[in-house]
Amino acid sequence: MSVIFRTEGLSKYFDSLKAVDGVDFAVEEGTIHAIIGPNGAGKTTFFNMLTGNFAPTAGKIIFRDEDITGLPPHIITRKGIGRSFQISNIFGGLSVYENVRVAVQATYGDAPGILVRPKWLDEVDEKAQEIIERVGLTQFSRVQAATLSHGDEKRLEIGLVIAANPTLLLFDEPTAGMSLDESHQTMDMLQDLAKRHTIVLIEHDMDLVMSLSKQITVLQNGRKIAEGSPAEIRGNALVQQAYLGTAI
Amino acid sequence: MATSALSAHRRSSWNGLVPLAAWAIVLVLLPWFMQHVLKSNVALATNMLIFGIAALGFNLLYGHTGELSFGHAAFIGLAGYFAAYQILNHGWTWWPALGLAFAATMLFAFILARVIVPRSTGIYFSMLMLAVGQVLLFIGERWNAVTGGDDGLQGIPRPTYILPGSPLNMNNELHFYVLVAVIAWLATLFMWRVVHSPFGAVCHAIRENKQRAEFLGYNVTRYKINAFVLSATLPAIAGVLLGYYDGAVNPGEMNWTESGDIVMMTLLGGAPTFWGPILGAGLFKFMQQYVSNYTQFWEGYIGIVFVGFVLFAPQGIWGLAEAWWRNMRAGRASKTAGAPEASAENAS
Repeated sequence: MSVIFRTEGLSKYFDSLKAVDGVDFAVEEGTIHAIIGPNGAGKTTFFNMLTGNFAPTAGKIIFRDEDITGLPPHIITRKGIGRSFQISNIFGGLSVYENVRVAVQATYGDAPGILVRPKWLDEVDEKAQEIIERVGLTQFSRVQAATLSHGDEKRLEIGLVIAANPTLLLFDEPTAGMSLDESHQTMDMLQDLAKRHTIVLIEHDMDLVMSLSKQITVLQNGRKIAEGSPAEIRGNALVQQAYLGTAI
Repeated sequence: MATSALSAHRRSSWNGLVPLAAWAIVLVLLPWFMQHVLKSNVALATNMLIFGIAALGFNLLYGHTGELSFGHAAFIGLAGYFAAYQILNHGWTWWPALGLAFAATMLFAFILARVIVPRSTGIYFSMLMLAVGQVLLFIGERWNAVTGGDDGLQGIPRPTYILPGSPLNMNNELHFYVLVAVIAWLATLFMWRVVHSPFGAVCHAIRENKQRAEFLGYNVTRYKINAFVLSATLPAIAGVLLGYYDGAVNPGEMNWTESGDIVMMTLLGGAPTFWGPILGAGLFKFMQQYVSNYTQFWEGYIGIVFVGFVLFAPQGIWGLAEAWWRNMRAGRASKTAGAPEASAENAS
């Protein structure tokens, strides 16, 4: 197993607040790696730097031996990093099919196709159908995305993310606001995705984190306080202190 | 089976054979309808089409990409001035005047897009565009030597020669209508292709969710710049036609109230739809003429209608008609098959 993605001393300061402070982080190819930590630990800020939402104050981000620090989100996406957001991030006014189609189209470059109908459009159609099937939304193909249930919206978003066939998937709380049933379905889907993609996820649901991940990184007040396998994290005194009162 | 059905749907929506053929029939029947049913005249139909072309272009940026410009009348006025200046001072004829006015206006739009689009969005974009229109209005009013000041440039003769061997004489209102109708149909064909192309799909995605579009790997700013430039093409052509139609151009064409009229036409007809702007422009121009026959407060009455639509039917008249048609079909389908289907095809 080789390291596919890492950060070196990654930091983000908002004035005097050190939201993320000197985090070294490495993900092995083909694993599920979880980032946990109490509220305000800097998890989402950390993610936002990885995907180019904001530039780090200091440090480096390296993906497949290439320095991608400070690149804009659309370039980082094209290099093979996909992101799912805390709040479902889809195209509400478009149909499920139109949502996925435009996501697949992104992998075919920027040909406008105004005067001549591009030949690859049929291929885009087919791939879109495949992905809709993979995330289990075939029956809702022509339904407006905004009218889907919360769980289905999340599935659609995952469909949009995997449409670009990314190497690395970043999930920000994939089960946030889900019922127990929906959470279990999502867990199954993450496991399925892990067969083809490397996954980094932020998650509060400890059962999910402990059962799915190979590695866990714990952040607190912007710093990395522990890293290791689920068993190691469970027994770590510092982590228990950070989650004071919370049994994990 | 579902795949092939959707692909076929996709292909037909790119070609747009049925709707564009229907539109051609409407264009052929419109003069007769105006004269004999509405007891109006052909010139009004021409005026409706000119503004329909402009609003259709404007709506690529607003209804399809999600940025509201309050300055698109500037492109109408600018193209009108370019053409009128050459026609009046250098005796240019129809084709070169149209070509130059179009090219110069597009160059202006291209530079403007590069300056404004990457720096502003939402209400700031709207206000910046309004300001651009007002600056051009000011120049038009003050630069007497070139623009003719408040009076504008007057006495533009209608073209007498368009194509070799064509019997059209533009001084005849019906002949002029034919010219404008042909251009309107071609403009519609062009915009149909734009909206239903892969490019148009990205515009819709940007309208719905800029951040997600970016995280799919699209350069949102670049797409918005291109949409802006494309949205100026049709107003530029409409501007030249309007100059010939009125026989004059004046600075008021660039005023923000004119830009506001285009916004109103689009909202009235239905911004989220493809045909809404054309329908809205037609109704607006018709009401403008007819209500003003009865009362000098016609703007107030149009305003009331407009407010009603914004409050109660933001999808506009065309959007209402589409929803009604979908419900009819869904009702019929569920009676026969029992399968509910809520199609969300946009801009169809």
